[in-house]
Amino acid sequence: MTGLKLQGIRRSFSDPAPKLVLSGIDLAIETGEFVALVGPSGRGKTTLLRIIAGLDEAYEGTVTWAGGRRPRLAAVFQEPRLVPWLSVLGNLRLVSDRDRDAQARALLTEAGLAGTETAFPGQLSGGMQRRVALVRALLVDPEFLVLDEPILSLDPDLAQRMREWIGAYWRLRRPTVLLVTHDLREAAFLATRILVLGAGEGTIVVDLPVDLSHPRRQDDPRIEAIIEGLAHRDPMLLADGHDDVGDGRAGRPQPLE
Amino acid sequence: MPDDRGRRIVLEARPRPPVRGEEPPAHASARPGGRSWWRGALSLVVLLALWQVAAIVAQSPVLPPPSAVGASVYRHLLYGDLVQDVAVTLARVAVAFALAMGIGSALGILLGRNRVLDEFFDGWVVIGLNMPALVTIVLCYVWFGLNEVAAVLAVAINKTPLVVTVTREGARSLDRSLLEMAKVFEIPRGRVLRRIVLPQLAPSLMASARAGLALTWKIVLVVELLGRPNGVGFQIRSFFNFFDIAGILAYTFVFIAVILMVENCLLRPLDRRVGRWRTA
Repeated sequence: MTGLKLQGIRRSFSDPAPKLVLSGIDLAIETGEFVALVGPSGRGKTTLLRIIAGLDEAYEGTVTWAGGRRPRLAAVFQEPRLVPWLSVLGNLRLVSDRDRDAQARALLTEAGLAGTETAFPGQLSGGMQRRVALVRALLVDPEFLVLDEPILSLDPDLAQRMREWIGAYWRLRRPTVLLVTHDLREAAFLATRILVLGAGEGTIVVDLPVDLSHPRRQDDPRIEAIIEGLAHRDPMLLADGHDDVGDGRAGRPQPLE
Repeated sequence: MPDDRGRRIVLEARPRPPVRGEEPPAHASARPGGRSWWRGALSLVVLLALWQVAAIVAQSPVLPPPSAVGASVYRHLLYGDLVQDVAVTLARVAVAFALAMGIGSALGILLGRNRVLDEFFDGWVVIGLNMPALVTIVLCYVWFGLNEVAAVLAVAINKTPLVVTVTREGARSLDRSLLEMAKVFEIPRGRVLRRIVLPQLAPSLMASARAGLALTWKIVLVVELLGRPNGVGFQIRSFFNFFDIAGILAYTFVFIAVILMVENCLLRPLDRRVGRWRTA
């Protein structure tokens, strides 16, 4: 069943220099799919994600949700975006209710954050804040989960644990997931389908189903093969970097590095 | 990647919230409020002494000595309407203050979040800011009659533009990334207002409350002087008619004392409370 349909999405920015970032995206995402959107900085990954999340409305084209209504959405942004004057539990209560505190605590414990309920975000490390942001997203039991580089700049062990956690959650609840990442390995480890935004064209140039069962092993040779295949088609995909328009300042293009 | 970096710096520049039980920062004790009480008392005693000397030298009925003013306070407290007058005036201050804060901050948030409305109404706000209080008062009395509604309305109208301006500044600088987060998660509007918007506006609201209180009570006295049959302002006019300077000063000092009490016992603790997560 098609959960989300994008038709002819175009988005350009005018400041500082006119630039067409997305030039006609046609895409259908099935309910329950785990889609990874990959590509190095400046190709409009975050822009596309913001359009889908309803944060960018200055686009051309149509976004259609199944059943004509937006599903219950949750997002993890590039930055944690926690409210600094609310405790961890206070932040979680923003999106849920007091009577779901038990569930919030259970998720915190799963994330290795037991005991931080009364701490303010500023008292936590960056990695802990990111995990709180992920807990906040999972707490709303989303039908559609948007992840924008949720694991950026974490130490490798923690990053892998978070990936495994995201994968386990997806297997259990089967939300539709859209993961934006520059990390091919992460995409191949988690996604059931990998999309690549082309450089310059502003369209989807690769649409690759990943037929590997979940849970996957990090050292699975087939993951390696997928990465190699993608890198062969677009060597830029191996370049390290990340999108920088995650802070949501509309009207700004994604600068090429 | 200027945007991302900029945002990060802003976020990290935010001071760490206090660990529970942590004392307020040391510089608080350097503020006037934290100075040793006896120096403040000494300063007041010196003022009183100077006044006494001036009164003795002048020997004039229009410059009564502090002792005469003290006696007047005592007399008015026991046998006069001082308590009632102060109560009536305070009630007017409270109603006008609440009206102006409520309407002013709502308008301020609206204008701060909506550029079109802000451009349209900016001129109105500027006119409001520069409208002499006396003109508003006279016009309100002329249009609505010499009644309580007109009096309170006049004061509220005088103060509202100030509240709008200060709150608008606060609303303009609301953290956009948090509002976006709220939008994605479809957090109910009331909750966003209470837990995300108002805490960010708290410093502006407190600033306008404190500036506004000082302005409000001064205007209320003028309103009473011009068109009410009771209150501190009305009494000051009657004292003026009888050249009872001791009475004027007696009422003034009592009223100043009451306003300082409101400021110290209500506004200042509130101010400290809303800024608690910031201080560290």
